[in-house]
Amino acid sequence: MQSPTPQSHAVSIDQLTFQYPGSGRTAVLDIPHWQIERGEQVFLKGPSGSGKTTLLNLLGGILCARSGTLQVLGVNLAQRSARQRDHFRAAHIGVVFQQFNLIPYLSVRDNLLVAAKLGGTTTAAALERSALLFDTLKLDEQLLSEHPTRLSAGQQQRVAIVRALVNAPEILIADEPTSALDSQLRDSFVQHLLALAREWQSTLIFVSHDDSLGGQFQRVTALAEINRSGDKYAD
Amino acid sequence: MLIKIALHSLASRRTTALITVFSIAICLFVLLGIGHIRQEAKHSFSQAVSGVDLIVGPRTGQLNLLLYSVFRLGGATNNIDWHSFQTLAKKPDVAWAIPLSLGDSHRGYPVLGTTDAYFQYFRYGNQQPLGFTEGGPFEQPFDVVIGAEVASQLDYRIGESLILAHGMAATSFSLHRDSPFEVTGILKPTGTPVDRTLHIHLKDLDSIHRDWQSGTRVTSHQHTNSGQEQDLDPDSVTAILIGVNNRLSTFRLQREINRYPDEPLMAILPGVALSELWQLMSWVEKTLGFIALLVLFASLLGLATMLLSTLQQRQREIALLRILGLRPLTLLMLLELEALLLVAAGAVVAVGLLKGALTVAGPMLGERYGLFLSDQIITVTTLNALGLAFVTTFVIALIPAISAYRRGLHSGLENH
Repeated sequence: MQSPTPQSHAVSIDQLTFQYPGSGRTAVLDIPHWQIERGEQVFLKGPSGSGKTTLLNLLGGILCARSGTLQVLGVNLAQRSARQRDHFRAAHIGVVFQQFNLIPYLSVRDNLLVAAKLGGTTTAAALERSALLFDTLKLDEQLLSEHPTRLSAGQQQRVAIVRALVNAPEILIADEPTSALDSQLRDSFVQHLLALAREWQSTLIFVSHDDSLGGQFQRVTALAEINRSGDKYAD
Repeated sequence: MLIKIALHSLASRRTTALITVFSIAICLFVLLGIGHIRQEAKHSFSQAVSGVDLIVGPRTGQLNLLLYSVFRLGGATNNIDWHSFQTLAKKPDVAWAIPLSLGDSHRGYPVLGTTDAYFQYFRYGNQQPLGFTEGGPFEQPFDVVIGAEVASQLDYRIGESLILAHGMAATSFSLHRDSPFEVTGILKPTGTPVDRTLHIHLKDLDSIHRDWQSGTRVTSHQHTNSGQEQDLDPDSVTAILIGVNNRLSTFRLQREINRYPDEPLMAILPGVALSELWQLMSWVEKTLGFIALLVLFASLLGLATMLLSTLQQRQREIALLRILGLRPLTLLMLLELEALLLVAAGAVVAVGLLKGALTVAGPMLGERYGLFLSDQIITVTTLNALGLAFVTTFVIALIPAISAYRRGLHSGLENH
């Protein structure tokens, strides 16, 4: 029951509204309809405070909407227990953040293995996968035994991609992943991300307020277009 | 995996972690040390005398009598007349009577004047008689039988000649130089004050004191072998150990001795006196134990505070772990694990410290207080104490652990 159905949409939203408890009747999100196909590469743009973090937390099953439906890979997360949602997120969704993608006191290898363990990937498979990814991303294998703090910002973000893909997730979410990078690194990072998502057949949801990056994506969606609540409510 | 995360997490906060471990270690050291000494003291005390039904001495406190007659601690305030000893020994209820005379020493070890009855009737531990590693009881005048520890510490062998000192000080200035004694027997180790005692015949003890009054020598006199010829009865003894024919007559005999008409005497039951001694000690031990517990509690609260205060810095780490799929309950366990690992490290350090302290201070305690501590620390009592420490830690660590759980529940992408 936990397993996603192969023919379903990556994301399918219907009449979804969400409000934080205690925030009165005003909804942060009010999305009548939104779908993402499997394998699509979506650039979701919106300034901070437009509800995108809330949307991502809903997609990851950290938050649960009480009205409307949100299906991820055909699974209605709201109907799952908290434990099942955590498990689902670990196995099927990879996330790359703006920064702090790695636990600072664990070596890069251990960071990857923790993600693999939580996602149900064996150590052998995880190491094999990360070796491939390290190669593609032009990362030195020796970085595996380093601690994240000794890596440059660019290296950290590339390792973050490796970590996000270590469980070969169907969905890859990148939340402002380039904010910490300078403009030279930014484009190559995005290209790597797009290429890898295609290669690994992951649906990519790339969230950024930086419109200049949108050109490289098949589909660009402004959150304001799909969210009727607009950008009045900060989250 | 969780243990690895916890270990690395603690390692990244090395300084605070080490200080916490150390404060816990000190508390556990005190707690375990008190428990161990208590247990060992109780064991060692109860082993010191067995099979003796009554201890008779001049009127004094029952503890005082027990302490000097059995443990060679403190001194007698008065003596028993030799005549009284003979009278008591001849009573029909009395199976055997061992006279004890104390007061002299040799290099800090007590000298006990007694008779052959001592080697025949004295029992220790579980009704065990005294045995000889070498030699045997005294036969000639000025023979001395030494305890196992005396032999090993002073490296004495059979045939060795030694001089006794007047009084109990380890560095006494008044020596019985005129009367050298010869070692004729070395007793097997008993783990009781017997090991630390030099035994000589009562008559010899008496004869070396013949010229002494009030602790000083009044005339110069050569003893040589005169003791053999004189064969005089001693004037007095300090205590008498008595075994009865029939256990049932013990109380009657005790009453009789307490009402002895010729001089004020008292008879005590060693078991009762031991338990009274024990109660006296247990008050101290309980107080110390209670203080140690309070301090342990305080240092565990310190541990909880430490973990709680780091949670703020660990907010992003918590959010990251949550995104990776770690359950809030697992976060709770992670914090618990960190706390328990710190206490476990503290326990290891404490046990090591205790072991070291026993190795260093053990012989000294035996020498000064007749307390023989085994270095076997891992006993049911210590395990109980450690178990209690771990349970308390678990409960106290719930404070930061639940806080981590709560943070975990609401941690997501917004915390980045």
